[in-house]
Parts: sequence; C-alpha cells; structure tokens
Amino acid sequence: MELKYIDMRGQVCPATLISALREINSHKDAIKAETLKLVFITSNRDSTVTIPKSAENMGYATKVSEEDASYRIEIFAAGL
Amino acid sequence: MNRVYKPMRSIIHKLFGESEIERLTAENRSLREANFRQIEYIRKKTNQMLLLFGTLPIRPEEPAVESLIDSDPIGVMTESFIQILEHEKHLNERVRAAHDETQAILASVGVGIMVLDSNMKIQIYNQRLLEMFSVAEEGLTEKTCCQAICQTDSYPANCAFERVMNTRRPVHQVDWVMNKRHFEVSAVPVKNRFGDVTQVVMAYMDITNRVKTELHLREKEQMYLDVFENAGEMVQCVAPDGSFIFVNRLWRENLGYSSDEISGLKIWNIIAPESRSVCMEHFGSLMKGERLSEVETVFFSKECKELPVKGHVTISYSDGKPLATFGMFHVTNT
Repeated sequence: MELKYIDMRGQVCPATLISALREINSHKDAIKAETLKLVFITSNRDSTVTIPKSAENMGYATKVSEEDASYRIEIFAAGL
Repeated sequence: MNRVYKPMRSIIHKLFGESEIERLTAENRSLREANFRQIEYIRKKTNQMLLLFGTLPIRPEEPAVESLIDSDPIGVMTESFIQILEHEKHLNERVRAAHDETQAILASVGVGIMVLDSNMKIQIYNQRLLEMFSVAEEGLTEKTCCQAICQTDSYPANCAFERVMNTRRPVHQVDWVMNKRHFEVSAVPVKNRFGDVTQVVMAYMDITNRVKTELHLREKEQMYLDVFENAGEMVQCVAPDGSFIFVNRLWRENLGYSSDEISGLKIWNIIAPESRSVCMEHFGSLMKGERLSEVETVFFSKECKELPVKGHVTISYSDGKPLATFGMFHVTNT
C-alpha cells in the first residue's frame, strides 16, 4: 500500500482540518480501494481530535501517534 | 495610487464631465460593498460548517480575502459532508438489518423478552411475552412494567428491575412467582458511556412445569424414603467412595449409630474385620458393573458386636458412571 505524507506542521485550526479534508476528498477512491494511506504530520494538538473525528464520520479508519515533537495522523480504509 | 488617480480623474473630467466621475465613484463603492458582503457570507457559511466539524472558526484577520475564495472551504467541506452522508446511509442500512435480525431473534425464542427504559417504561417486547403474561398489545409501550405485568403502580417485592437500577449489575432470579406461575428472570442493564443505566433487558422463562415436576419428584422421593425408612429390612445406599448416602431406621438401630454419625462412616467401618476383604471384592465387582447374587456377610456394630446378615445389593448409574449401590439385608443369626 502506498503512503502519502502531508506535512502540515506550522498550520493551526481550522486551516489544518480544511487541508486534511481536501486531501481525503482528493484521494477517497484510492483510500477506499485500500491502495493508499494518508499520513498527516502536524504540530497542532487540536488536529489530533478534529481530523480523526471527521475522517471517522466519513467512514475511514484512523490512527494517531506522537512522533518526535509532532503528531502523526493516519487515515485509511475502515476494516484494514 | 493618488499619482495615477488624479491624472485619470482629470482626463475623465475633461472627457465626460463631473457627473460621470461621481457615477463611477458610486459604482466603485457599491461593488466594493457587494464584494465585502460576499466575503462575509462565505466566511459565515464556512464557520457554520467548521462548527459542525467541531473545529475553530476562521479568524477575522485570516485568511486573506483572495485566499478565502481560492481555497474554496465550502466546496471542500461540502464534498466531505457528501461522504459523511453516504457513510451514514450505509450505517443506517446496517442498523436496519441488525434491527430486523434482532426482531426475528426476539420472535423466535421461547423466552419472553422486553426492554425497559430507566423509568421502567416498556420500549420493546416480543410476542412470547404477551402470551406468557396474557397482556394486551395495545398501548403497551405507554405502560410501565409494573402496570403491564404486575398490574400495580409500585415496585413489587423483590423486583428485578429495581435491583438492577439500584446495583447497576445484572440480576438473575431463579424463581419469581406471578399469578401462580413460576418464572426464571434475567435482568441485564444497558449503560451509556458514563456508566448510567439507560435501559434494562428483561427475559422471562416460564418454569412452572419444571417446578411442578420437581415438586412431584420430591414428594415421590419422600414417599420412597418413608417406605425404606420404615422397612423391615436393613437398607443402605452407598456412594462409590464408600460413604453412606442413606441408611434406614432398622439399619441404625441394629448397628447402633445415630443419624448424625452416618456422614462420617465408610462401608468398611461396618463390616466385620474377617469379612472385609470379601466385601471389598463384592463392592469392586459392583463398581465394574457385575451383578451379584445373594450376599452373605457380617456387619460390625458401633459397639463392636458382630451381626451376620444376608441380602441383595444392586448398583445404579448416571451418565454411564456408578452412582450408588443399594443394599437390603436381614439379620440371619443374632
């Protein structure tokens, strides 16, 4: 499965959410086909709640982890 | 700006006169105001949608006007909402299917089931429950369990629902009696994420026939015990480990033991020493499933008195395993 990294460090809400939603919308077919996983890197703590929650409402699975001084948010097909 | 604006104004003034300048100025103001209103509309609608996504509104100072239009936040969020609605539709279909499955399960089981809310109001019930308690279906969901089943306005004694609400734990009631019928009741709480009980699932199994059968069996058992207790022969029932399950009055009288002493005895304690090896062989043969003809042995009383006896011993099984030996003896020579 391909991983696409999106570095959003330095951005804050709501710009991070809108950017993340744009990426998810653009790649929805590939994500649902389980050929792509999006990985957002952010320094904004609020985004670790808003982005996963929105993605889950859209039917995707998510995983959040802390990596160095930033956060890693993975968006992938539910059921993986 | 003024360096360009003043010569322009002068040229326009010469060409079209003062009135045209005033018209263009007014038109320019109007266009700026319209543009501002549109930007504010986009900002307002964007913020409304951001609120639904649970995030912060756009700050008044950012993004820049051009950026707000170019980034198309409404378009992005609209597309996301379409995905949310599609996902919700899919979830609703799954919930509907699960609901249908649940209804089918409720209808198929031989157990009366109902779901009560935290105020004891009936929310869901199955057909078996209506039959079990002879309850009319009309208006049932307007009633509490007390009103519909117990036909009172307050909790009955030992109410399973009340106990679940008080303890927030499942309750299992082995024998609950209502209108001379016996029920086994299971009451299970459904909790929200704060641990509060929001619903209670009640399941009723009618065990009236089982209770009656057990009572009948106990009566029969007592009758047989009375017969054996007063029999004219010594009766004993011995477990595979040699302990006594039952001995009758004559057995106790002849061997000098009280009822309380029987539980501490083993079969070899009441066999005379010289007869023990033969008796143990008999006991072992019975345990292997062999049949014995008449048995002759010597019992040994509590007072160490020998008591020659003759009788018959049989064995009973449960699930293919020896359950107990049953012996009836009479004294041959005192």
